[in-house]
Amino acid sequence: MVGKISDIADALWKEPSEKNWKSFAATLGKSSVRYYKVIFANEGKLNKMQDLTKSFAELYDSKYKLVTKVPIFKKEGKKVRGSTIYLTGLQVSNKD
Amino acid sequence: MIKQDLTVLEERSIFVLREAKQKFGKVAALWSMGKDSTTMLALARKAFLGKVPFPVIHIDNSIDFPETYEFRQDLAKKWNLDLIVAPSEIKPDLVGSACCGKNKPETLKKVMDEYGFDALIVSIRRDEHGIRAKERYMSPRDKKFRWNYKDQPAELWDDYSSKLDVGGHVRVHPLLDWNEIDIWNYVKRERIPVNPLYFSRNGYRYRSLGCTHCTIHIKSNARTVENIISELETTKIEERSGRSMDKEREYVMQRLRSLGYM
Amino acid sequence: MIVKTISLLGHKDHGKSTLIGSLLMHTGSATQVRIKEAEAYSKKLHKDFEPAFILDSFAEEREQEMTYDTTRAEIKYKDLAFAFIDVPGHEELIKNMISGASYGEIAVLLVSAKADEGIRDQTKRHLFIARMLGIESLVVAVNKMDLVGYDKKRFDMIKDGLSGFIEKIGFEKTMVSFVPVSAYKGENLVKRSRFMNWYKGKTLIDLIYSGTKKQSGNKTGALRIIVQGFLEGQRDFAVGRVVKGNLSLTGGFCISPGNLPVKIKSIIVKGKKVKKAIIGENVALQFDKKMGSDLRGSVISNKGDCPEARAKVRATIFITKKLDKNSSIRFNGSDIQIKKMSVAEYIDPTTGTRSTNGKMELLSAISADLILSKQIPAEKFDETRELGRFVLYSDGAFAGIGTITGY
Repeated sequence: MVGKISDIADALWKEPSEKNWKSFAATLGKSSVRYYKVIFANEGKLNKMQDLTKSFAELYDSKYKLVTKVPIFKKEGKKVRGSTIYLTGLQVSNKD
Repeated sequence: MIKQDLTVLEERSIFVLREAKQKFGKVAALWSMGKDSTTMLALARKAFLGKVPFPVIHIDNSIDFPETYEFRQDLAKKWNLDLIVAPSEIKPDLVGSACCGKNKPETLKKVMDEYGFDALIVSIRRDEHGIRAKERYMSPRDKKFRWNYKDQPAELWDDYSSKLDVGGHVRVHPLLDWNEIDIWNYVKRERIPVNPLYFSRNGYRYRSLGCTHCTIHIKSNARTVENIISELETTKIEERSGRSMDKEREYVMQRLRSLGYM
Repeated sequence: MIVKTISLLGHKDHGKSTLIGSLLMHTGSATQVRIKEAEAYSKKLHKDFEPAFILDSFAEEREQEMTYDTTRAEIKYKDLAFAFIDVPGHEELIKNMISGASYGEIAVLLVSAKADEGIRDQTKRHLFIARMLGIESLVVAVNKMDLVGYDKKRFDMIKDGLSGFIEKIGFEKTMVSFVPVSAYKGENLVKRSRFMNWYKGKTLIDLIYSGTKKQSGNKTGALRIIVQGFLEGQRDFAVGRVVKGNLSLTGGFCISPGNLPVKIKSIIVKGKKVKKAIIGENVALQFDKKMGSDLRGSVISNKGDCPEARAKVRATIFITKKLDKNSSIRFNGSDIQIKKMSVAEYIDPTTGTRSTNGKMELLSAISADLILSKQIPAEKFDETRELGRFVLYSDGAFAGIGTITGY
């Protein structure tokens, strides 16, 4: 079932599993989201992969209106891994 | 895009890497964790009996993709790399091309001075940009990192420049003759690990990787190395003309930046 | 696909860009999109179709006040690809010309058939350098035949005018061919021209194709490995490249200079232990003992077949910078002082004429005996390219090139 993008984002925050990321990526293609921006924790100092849990990505529509925020990690058991691969369909943006 | 004989390319790169190691006292390499510089490390492992005999520098602006950091961590361990992470500050007032364009060379200069490297291996390819036509396998930079492309040392008959200005260094380009498609064919043949961000999601992929601020995706359904190779075989020039001028320009600038020309 | 590099010589206005554009089009190496763009651009300028625009649209704009070269244009034909290096006439420094042309495997010379655009001295000099660099195969394309009414007489005149010079500077007759073309109209490039039935030879692309097949560099022969040096901290492990012959572990070996006997315990190519290595391969060699002296620039051969080390050689030298007391040669990575130089002959590179009287001039050549400060494992350029050539330095700057012709 394809839900609203913000609902699936909530699900990701609760459980950033590969399964949830895949269904999120499937929804993303059909949504209004066009751009994303990564906000790193610790002023961008990524010392260990664990720091990713405090970082996130902001998703914007074509008019740079904020749609929702999503994590940028996924959990494989206890291991934290990057998950921006699921956002590749969007354009990165540093437009402020 | 012309596919070249990988063995010929490989031999030339190994020769250049070994020359660099012979000619210069302190050699280092730039490693962006991208496909080109990772291929260069794979070649160095072949040239130097399984180990990379020089430090690899990552100019880290702290805003690379998480997958890139993950890739750095995993491969540095697997290949036992002597990794130097040089933090580069992101200045909030600089955006777009000015951002890496200004910060990265400054950081690189600092690292080069601090460690006293006199040669820097950079994995540029001639097919990346028209300016490459004038590049040499070994090319001196002055202490301000400037490249006097009009008056460079002659390079012929496997005799490469060893000229060092005071405070300057020599850039070494072992991958100069490789085309983009050769890199991917070699990645396939040698099973070289690559960053997962090169592969397509939702109809897009990154053709060259920068940071999370300015990397540009291209339309693509290539989900494997094989897919990327056949994509490059068929798209040729249409791939370029399919992009808007703005994006094309940005793409070129991004490459220039990453290569230290800006 | 094997890419063959071709030095394209010729004066600027003799149609080099048009030729490359035309070849891209007629060999199917340019896409329809590219050709359409060139058509549109030609129309915009109210011109007939200009093939050079196919190439020009590859050209980058000015960025950072740097003028870019055109991107390497690669032309596909049969099982090969040809990458043309444009060797510009006047505006480039001669050292850039030499560097560029040194990568060419064969040369194509483009000469305009127009009466007011014949061959220039500069172009002849470039031809002389190309031959010195080791280019054996040459195709002379007489261009702009459409503008001289496809007249056989114009073609013959240029051919006769050049043949003597070309042979005089060392090209073998069988390695040189002439073809009348029109780069602009595409005549005799890939398809035979209907307008020049008097010409019975091959088309330009076929001449280039067969030329690259003829070109070979070192003939097979005795084993020669040039040593780059030791692996870091391992004086029993040398790295180098097989430049001639084949290496296998059987029998003993020797190192020149010094005629030192040595045993090779193992050969490593690209990280793998192997039993033999072939020409062109980069090897790592493990000796049975640590070596005392530095080996950079030394040669490893089969026992009893070492090249003789010599401190005196006879060489042909092309000079680009005044030689002074502080002159040296760079020979396989080592710098060796020239102690004495005595000129035997002065060679005019624009005519090929040799004479015992003359003056040493820049951008001209000499044949001279060099006395070196150290012995080198030299061979004649014709025998082993890599052991018969050197780069000249004067006061630390590039001063020319030399090829060894005798001892």
